[in-house]
Amino acid sequence: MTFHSENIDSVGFRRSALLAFLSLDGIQLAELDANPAIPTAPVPTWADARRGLRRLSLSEAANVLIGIDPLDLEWRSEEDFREFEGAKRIISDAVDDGEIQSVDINFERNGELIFNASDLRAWATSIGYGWPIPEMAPPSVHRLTKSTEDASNSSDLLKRFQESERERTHFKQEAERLQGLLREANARDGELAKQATQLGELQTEIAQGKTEIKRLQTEIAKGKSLPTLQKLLIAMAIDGYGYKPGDNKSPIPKQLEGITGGLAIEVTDETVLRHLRLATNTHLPSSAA
Amino acid sequence: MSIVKAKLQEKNAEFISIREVLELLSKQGDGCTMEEAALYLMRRLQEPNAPIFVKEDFGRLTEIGKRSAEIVLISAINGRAFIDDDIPF
Repeated sequence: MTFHSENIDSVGFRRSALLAFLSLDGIQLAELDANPAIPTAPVPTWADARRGLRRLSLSEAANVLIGIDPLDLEWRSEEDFREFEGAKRIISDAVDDGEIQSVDINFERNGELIFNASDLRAWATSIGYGWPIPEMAPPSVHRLTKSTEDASNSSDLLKRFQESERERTHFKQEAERLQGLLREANARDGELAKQATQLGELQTEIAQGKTEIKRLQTEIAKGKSLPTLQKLLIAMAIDGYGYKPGDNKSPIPKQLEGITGGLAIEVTDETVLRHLRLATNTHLPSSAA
Repeated sequence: MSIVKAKLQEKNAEFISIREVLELLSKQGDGCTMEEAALYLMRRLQEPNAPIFVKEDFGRLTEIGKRSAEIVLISAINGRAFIDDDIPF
C-alpha cells in the first residue's frame, strides 16, 4: 500500500484518546501505551569523542553549547563567533546567579573559569539547552576514543537486553502456566482424596461380600445333605413304622411325636407330617396323594 | 546538528499519526491489510464518541474537523481528495 497524502504523518490523534477508544473493541495497542520513542538528534562524532572530558573551560563550554567541538577554537565564521560570545555570556550569567559553580581558574587558559562537565550537562539540560556530549561510560567499559568495536559492543548490549527482555516475558508466561498447572493439580488432589475414600468404602463392601459368600457356601453345603435325610426319613417311616404315603389320616406322625417327646427332642405331629409329605412328594411322587 | 534543529525534530509524545495507527492496527493479532485497517478506522470514527482528529505542527497539536481528517485518510489510501462510488468507504 502506498500513501499518497503527505498529511498522513501530520494528521492523527491524541495517543491516550485513541487508545481508550480502540480498547472498546478489545484492541490493545501496546505500542501506543508504551512511551513512544522520541527521535532525538544523533550524537555528533565530535561530541561522542569528547565524552571523556571531565572539565571544560568557559570557552570550551560555550563551544559545546552552540554545537561545536570544545577543542576546536578556530572560528569559521562571524556568525559562529557571535553565537560563541552569546553562549559565553549565558554561562557567565548563570555563574553570577549561582546556577552553576566553577571549580577552578586556569591561568594557563587565559584565566578562564573551569567547570565540571557533569555540572555543565546538568545545568544545560535543566534550562532546556541540551548538552550534545554524552555522559561518560562507566569505568569498566570506558574508552577514550570511540571505535567500531564500541558500536559493536553497544549493539551487542542492546541485543542482550532485548534477549533478556524476551526471556523475562517468556519466564513470566511460563510461571503463569505453571501456576495454572499447580491449581489444576491441587484440584485433582482433592478429587483423588475423595476417590480414595470411595475406594476404602468399596473395599469394606467387598470384604463383607466375601464373608457373605462364605456363609452362603456353608448354607449350600448344608442344603446338599437334605435330600439324603429326606430319603432316610421316608424309608424308615414306611419300613419301620408302617407309614403309607398318601394316607392323610396316618397315625404315624402322632406316634413319632410321642417317641420324640420321650427322647426329649420334641417334634409335633404336624411337623412330622409336613416333612413326611415333603419327602414323599420329592422322592416318591408316584406314591403321593 | 544544532540544538535548535534537534529540538525541532522532536515529536510530540502525545501525538500519533494516521500512518502509525494504520501500521499498528495492521500488525494486530494475525494481522490485516492496511486497507482493512483503514476501513475499520473509518467506520469506527463515524461513531459519536470517536476521538478528535489533531494536526501536529512543530510539536503543537491543533484540533481539526472530522471531514478534513477523513479526506486526508481517504486520499492517503486512494490518492483522491474526494469521496465517490469508486472509493470503498
